[in-house]
Amino acid sequence: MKYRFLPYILLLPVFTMIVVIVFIPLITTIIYSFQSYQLTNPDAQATFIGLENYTNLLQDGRFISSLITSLIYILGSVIGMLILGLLTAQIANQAFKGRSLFRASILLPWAVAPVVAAQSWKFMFETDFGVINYVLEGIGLIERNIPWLVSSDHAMLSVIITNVWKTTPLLTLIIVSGLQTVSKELYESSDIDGAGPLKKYYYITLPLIRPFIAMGLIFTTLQTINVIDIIYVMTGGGPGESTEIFTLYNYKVFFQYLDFGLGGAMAVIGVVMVGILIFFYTRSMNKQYN
Amino acid sequence: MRKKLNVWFWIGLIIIILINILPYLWTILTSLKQQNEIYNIKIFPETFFVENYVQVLFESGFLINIWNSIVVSSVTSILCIVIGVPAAYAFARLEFRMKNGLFMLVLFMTIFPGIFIISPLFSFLRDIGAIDTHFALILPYIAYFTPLVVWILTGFFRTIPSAIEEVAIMDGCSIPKLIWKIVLPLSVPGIITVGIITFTLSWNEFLFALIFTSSDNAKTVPVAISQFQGVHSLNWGQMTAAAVIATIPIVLISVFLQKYIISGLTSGAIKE
Repeated sequence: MKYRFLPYILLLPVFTMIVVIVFIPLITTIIYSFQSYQLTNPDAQATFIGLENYTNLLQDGRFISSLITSLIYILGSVIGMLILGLLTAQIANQAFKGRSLFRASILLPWAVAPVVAAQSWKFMFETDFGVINYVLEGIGLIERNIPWLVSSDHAMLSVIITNVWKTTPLLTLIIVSGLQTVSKELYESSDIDGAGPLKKYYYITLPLIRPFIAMGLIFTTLQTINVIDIIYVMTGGGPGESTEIFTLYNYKVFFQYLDFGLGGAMAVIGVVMVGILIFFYTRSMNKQYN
Repeated sequence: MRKKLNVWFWIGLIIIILINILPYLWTILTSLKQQNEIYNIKIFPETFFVENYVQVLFESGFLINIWNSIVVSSVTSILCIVIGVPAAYAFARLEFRMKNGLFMLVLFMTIFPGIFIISPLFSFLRDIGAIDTHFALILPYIAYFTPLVVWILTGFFRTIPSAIEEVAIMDGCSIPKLIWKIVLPLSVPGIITVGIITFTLSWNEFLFALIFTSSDNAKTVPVAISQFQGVHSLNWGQMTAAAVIATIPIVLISVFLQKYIISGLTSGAIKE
């Protein structure tokens, strides 16, 4: 039976929403990026200024440093998430008593709002009455309280830890679903060959779950960039600009400095970078099949 | 052949459980302490100090924020499902031109960062007079979360045998009626899954809520929590009490209905 228009009618509502809320604003953002458009002056008219916003950005040291900060934040988070995620997934994939309780504990950080996670960790990272310094001092690892969030040496590490805690569950669950596709027989045949568990993991498991890891990293990396909540609440980008990632700076340009032109140019660059990121991950994922 | 799990396994297991639950447990403990216990780092409160909760609930405007969150999240999840089900059905069962391209677009939408479109969206919502209303949040939430619903439900619909539907179509049943009478009843677990996930995402969303609301007319829980200290001059007892109140419903739902969430977050394995 042929339905000529029916599929499109069924899709119409969702795509109308996407067009109105995302596409049109995206095109508008691109237009802003070529304009001088500041909301600080209510009578100001948006005027076309060509590439000036872009050239201004390239000369803006704060923008460049926000890109570097983002890179450190993403790299640190990805390393942390991979270690914690692979380990957790390995455990969650075993059959043992109380596994569903274990899985429930994995979901807890996912369910907690990023803002709440940020406030909880901010409290734990407090210099004088935070529990982290209290414990580290108690077991003799440090002698003086570490000013986690108020020194630019430690703030980045603090927000990375918080982000890893909050975001790893998603990666873990995707890796677990990958582990479930690995057939048991592969392991049994290598048992006979006498391969150790680490060797087996490296040569058998990892290559097979690689596409899942790549997919999981796309989602968690984008979440890391997109969810400015954690840094916004914990440090506001500070101290100085030591934790000001690119998306947080973009937010400030839009809604604190009210410069929609410059912010638009940042957003356009952001979209391009996200595209490159996805391309990079999907390519590393596809390598496996070639 | 089941391998014996050694002692390292159990050590790893316990460490990971502790990592996952300790921060939240500490938040709960803190919310039950008096100010001096908090500043002197007493691990357990001497008595359960519920005053923090009383003050948050009855002496600050927090109940209004909870109400705003309930309205926004419920309406969003229901509308996401209403809009998402027909689209997911089309992707799962019908053949049409540009199907793959449109489906990739849906997938891409689930990860597109909101900050990049937020300023025109703000202008648009301001021009239609929606800023600082529930509508200002519901509208973008639907656009952002429905693609996820479509994605998860498409995978779910494909797992349902289509034989019944084919018979119904031969009997002259129309597609909308078919979705309503046959597909939906068979999809209750999938609907629960997307319902929980969209509710949680809307409940936790911060960026749009921060920018599109400005007063207790529409301010939701995450925004209220992020601004808590300003109003109450750094009172960690009340702050953590608010955090616990805001998260307990979501945490309980996800712990007890974990199998739905896990199936949704990993549906078809290749998806969020």
